[in-house]
Formats: sequence, C-alpha cells, structure tokens
Amino acid sequence: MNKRTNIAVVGHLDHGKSTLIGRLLYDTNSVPIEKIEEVRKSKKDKHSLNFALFLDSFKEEREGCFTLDTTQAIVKIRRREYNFIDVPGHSEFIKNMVTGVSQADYIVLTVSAKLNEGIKAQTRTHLQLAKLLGAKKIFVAITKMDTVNYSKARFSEIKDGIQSYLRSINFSAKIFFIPISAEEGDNLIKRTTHMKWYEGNSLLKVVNLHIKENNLKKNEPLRILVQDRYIVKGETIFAGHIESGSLWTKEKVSLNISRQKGVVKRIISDSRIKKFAEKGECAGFTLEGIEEKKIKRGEIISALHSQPLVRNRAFAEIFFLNDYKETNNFILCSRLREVSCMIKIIRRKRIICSVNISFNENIAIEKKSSVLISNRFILLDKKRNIAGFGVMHV
Amino acid sequence: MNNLTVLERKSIFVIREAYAQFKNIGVLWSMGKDSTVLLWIIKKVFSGEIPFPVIHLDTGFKFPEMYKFRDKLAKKWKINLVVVRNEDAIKQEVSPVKNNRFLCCTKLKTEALRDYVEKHKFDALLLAIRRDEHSIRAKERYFSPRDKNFKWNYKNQSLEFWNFYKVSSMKGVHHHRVHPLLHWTELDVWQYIKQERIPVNPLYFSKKGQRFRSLGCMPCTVPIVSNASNIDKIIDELKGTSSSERGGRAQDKEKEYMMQKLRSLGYM
Repeated sequence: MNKRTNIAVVGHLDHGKSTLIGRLLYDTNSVPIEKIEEVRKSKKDKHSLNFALFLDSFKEEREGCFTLDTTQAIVKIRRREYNFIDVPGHSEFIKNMVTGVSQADYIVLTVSAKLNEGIKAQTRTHLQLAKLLGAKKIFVAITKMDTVNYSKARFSEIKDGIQSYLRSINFSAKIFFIPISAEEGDNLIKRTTHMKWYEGNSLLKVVNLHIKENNLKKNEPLRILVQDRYIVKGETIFAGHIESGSLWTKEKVSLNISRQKGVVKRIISDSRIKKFAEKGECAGFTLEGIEEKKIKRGEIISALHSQPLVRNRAFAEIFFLNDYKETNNFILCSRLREVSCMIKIIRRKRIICSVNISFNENIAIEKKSSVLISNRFILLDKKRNIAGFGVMHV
Repeated sequence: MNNLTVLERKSIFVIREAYAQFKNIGVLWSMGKDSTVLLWIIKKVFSGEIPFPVIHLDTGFKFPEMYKFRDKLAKKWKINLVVVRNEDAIKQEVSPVKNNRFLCCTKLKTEALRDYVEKHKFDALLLAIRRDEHSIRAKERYFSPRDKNFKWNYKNQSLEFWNFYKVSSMKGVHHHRVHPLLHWTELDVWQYIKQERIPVNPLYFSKKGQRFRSLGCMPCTVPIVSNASNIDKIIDELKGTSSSERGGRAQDKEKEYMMQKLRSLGYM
C-alpha cells in the first residue's frame, strides 16, 4: 500500500469544504451504512442527503450548519488512499484551520461560484496562510457550479480574481482550477458532461497527477532532532527523529546547539542494531566523544560538512493569532526547543508581519532550500498561550 | 516505504514526545486489538519494556476470554498491570440492564478512571483511539487536555502544528489524553498485527459464522456475521465492508450525540 496522501480543504465559510469531502466519501463508498442512515434521519436533512454531516458531527456543528473543528476522513479509490482534512472556514476558528492545514501534503481551496459568494475575506486569508506555510501547489475547486448554470463566464471571473490576488501577495505557487458541484457530483472523481467547455480533468485526477512519492533526496543534509535520552542497561541512548538525510554508524557529526563534535557508535531502530537510518525514522543511537550532560532535548545533529547556521537573531514572517504590541517578549518553539526572544515588527502587510527576532540562546536556522521547512516555529506569549506562527529566514 | 512504516513512525514520535513532556504517565489497555498494538509500539520505543503502568478499566462485564488474554500477555510481556474498578458501583450492581447504558459507562468506566487518575496524580494517559472509529473521535488531537472534571473542551481545542505536540497552556488542565494511534484505520491495525505478529484476542476470529469486530462489555457488544477465521480473512473482509467497526457497540448508536456526551464527560 502506498503512503496515504494528506489533502486539506480550505476556503471561506459555506463555500462547500465539508460538502466536497462528504460527497467524495459517499461516491467512493467510504461512509459506513450506519452513518448514512444516521445522517438521513437527522432533522436538518429531510429532503436530500446533507453530505457535510458525514464530517460535522458535533451537535453545535449540525444545528448551526458550520464546522467548528478540523477533522479527517479517508477516501479510497482503487489502490490509492487520500486523507482529506476538513477545516473550519470561520475567522474565529483560524487556529483549528491551521492545525488541519499543517498536516497536509496538498491544499484544495474552495471558492463558491454562487451569486454573491465568490472570493471572500477568508479566501484571501487562507491563501496568505498557505503561502506562509510554504505551499508549492494549490488546487482551486470552484464549487456550487450548478447554482450558476455551470457558467464558464463565472468560472473565469473567479479564476482571474484568484490569479490577480496571488500576484498581489507575491505568491508563486502552481495553481490549478477545477469547476465542480459537490451537490451534483460534477468533476470530483469523474469528468462531468455538464461543463463541456471545461477541458481539464476531475479534481482527484488533477491532484493524482501531482502526487509524488516522498522519495529520499540524495543531496539532503543530515538533520537529527533529539527528542529524549533513555538509559538502557547503563548505556545512554539518544532518541532522535531524522528530519532529513540519512545517518550511518561511524559518521562524524556536529551537535549544533551544545557545540560539540562526536561519532555515531551504534544505531538501534525497531529493537535491532542497524548500520543506517533514513529520513523520517525515529531511531535510537549512541554517541562517542561527547559530553552527554550537555545534550538536551531539541539538540540538532548534522554532518560536519553541511551544518545549519547557529545564530541568536533572525528575520521572520509571522501570523499573529491576536493583536500584540509593537515590541514584546515571546517564547519561540522550534524543533522541540523553547527559546525566549524579543520581537520587533518591521512592517505589516495585510495579515502577515515581517519581524526581527533576537533570541536569549542560539538557535539553528537552515539556509538550504531542501530543509527550509524546518525554519517554521510557533510563538507562545508569557502566559504560554499560542500567539502565532511563522517562518524564519537567514 | 510502506504505509505502515509511516504510521508507526508517527506513533513512535508521539509516544516519545509524551514521555519527554509528562512526568507521570500511564497507558489504558482494554485488551482489544488497538490498545494491544499501542503496547507493542511502546515496547519498541523503550527497548522491549513498558516503563509505566498499564491500566485496565475493569467493569466486571468483560468476556472471560478477555481476562484470560490479559493475564497471559501481562505475564509474557512483563507488564506492570493495574486493574481499576469502581468497587462501590459494582457492589450496587450498576448494569446496563438495571440502569441505562449511559449511566453504566459513566459509573464503571469514566468514574473508575477519574478516581484512579486523581489518586495517583497522573498527568497523561495514553489511549489507542483512532479517528476512523467515530466521527467524534476524528475531531481529536494527539495531545488532548482534560480539566479536573475530565471534561473535553472540544469547543476550544489546542493548536497542534506539524510535529509540535505541546503540553497545553490552557487554564485548569488536569491531565492530558495522548492518542498515538489517532491516524491509523481499522484496516491498518490488522495489517500491522499481521506484519508484526502481534497476539490478539481469539474473540476477533469467526466461530460458527460470527465474530467480534470491536470488543467492549458483554451486555453491550454483539458479534457480526462473518466467516473470517484468521487475520488474512479479516483483512479481506474489511476491504470489502461498508458497515461501521463499532456497529456492534451499543453506546455509539443509541443516540446521535451519545458519543459526544460520553466523551465530554471523560469517556475514552
């Protein structure tokens, strides 16, 4: 079985996120019969099947007809599996939206074609967040096409609007537009005959063409994140997660936070001694030539020839969940470490702030594009509430 | 790389995070397939041992095969097994027949757990719930805080980004529920059991045309019609089924919001 593909569906409230996923679940027989019966019986749904209720299962969600928190459901088609992540479209639930999106490999943005709907505030916010989170591709599903008589003109109007908005925020992601109707099942899995003017593929087909297996990249630098250390029969074993690259025994490594050098002695993974551990693995290993006590949770281990930068300042882009004062003290959480920092806002462009950060301790920052994703962080305020999230730059 | 490897790695990461961030943790074991898989992965993380208590919430209504399976495996895996019972409620003969199912679950499971966690000051419990079991469980986080009344504040859940499984800063957090198998499906679990050769309760296998797909208490669990008498046959059966895993569990289907109500009070 292939690795499951995680797809988050974002967009303004009521632009058909839950309905889209619900319809996919229904059309692929991924909903248990008991669930279909339950949805059929629910009060809000006397006439037709409300696909969104396969996902919206809280009382509050069903009675209010909205999504409160993110959820996930697996759609199976032939040998492929897609894990669809539904997120709320309301602005006040943005943290739930980001929680969902942060687990996705791909993003589908829904924009309703219905009269008076189109591109709205959360459509724009979600695009800006997708940019901040590093999305490389966006699949735009223009929904509710049945309500506008499958009008090509309406489709083009929204498409142009999205493209010009992306240019205005300097977002160069690859973008694909698919006109759909979840209610009628048009262009979700199969191409519909309702829109002969549309020459592209169905939504799932388009996504499928872009799925690549997460192959090991040869030139990725080694990065290990130390989660913990365990003493087993008197020996210290470091519990590490291999963020990128691969680890070999006898390899000379640099410990970037405690500023030490050492040699990998043994690798233990899956209760076996191994010579090698690969990206994504949660391996255990022992080190020689180091001072164990200095190694704390959040230590970064890299190969001598390709280390991250170690700095006490950085430039960053941040999305604040609430309004914060110009200068303030925060705790930055990055790669299992928490570091106190001062943040100074340089400029604010729409919802994203460009800032200078100075840290109380050194922090590892990546400069290679293949590992840039590791520069993301979350911010806590003094009361340890989550204040925002962002990405550091050199 | 196979799908199971990806799932297992994520679970290991979450278990390690919980162990690093909490001081006093335990794991709930119902002797069902999911929590047995969870114990198996925990054993992998800690070089073959489970370094914290394994808690069985015993209602007294479990199948005899489950008690037998429990004692056998506990011995084999050298588990620090703790059997937790609400003795007062058991003395009062609380039952789903005499009372109702909601009260029975609350007294014998939720309250038994509450007293035990309170007494031993656990700050985290590992549980083997999965998103695909129930659409309410699909809303869960990997690290999910509970207040002193064990309430799940589902209206204001903590933020969970990338691999940041942070101890919540929310006010009044009593303990955390940690869900390392949240992203697994029923089929994944069986495929993993096959791959790793994990022992499972014989009640899952078909006898006389019936088997249990999900195991709970005897009065509230019914078998399904099935000829799946071994793991391969179960995997084949699941690939073709369109009914729900917990279809045989009474507390899920009685009312639309039964699970939400139970869970908001601290049920698993």
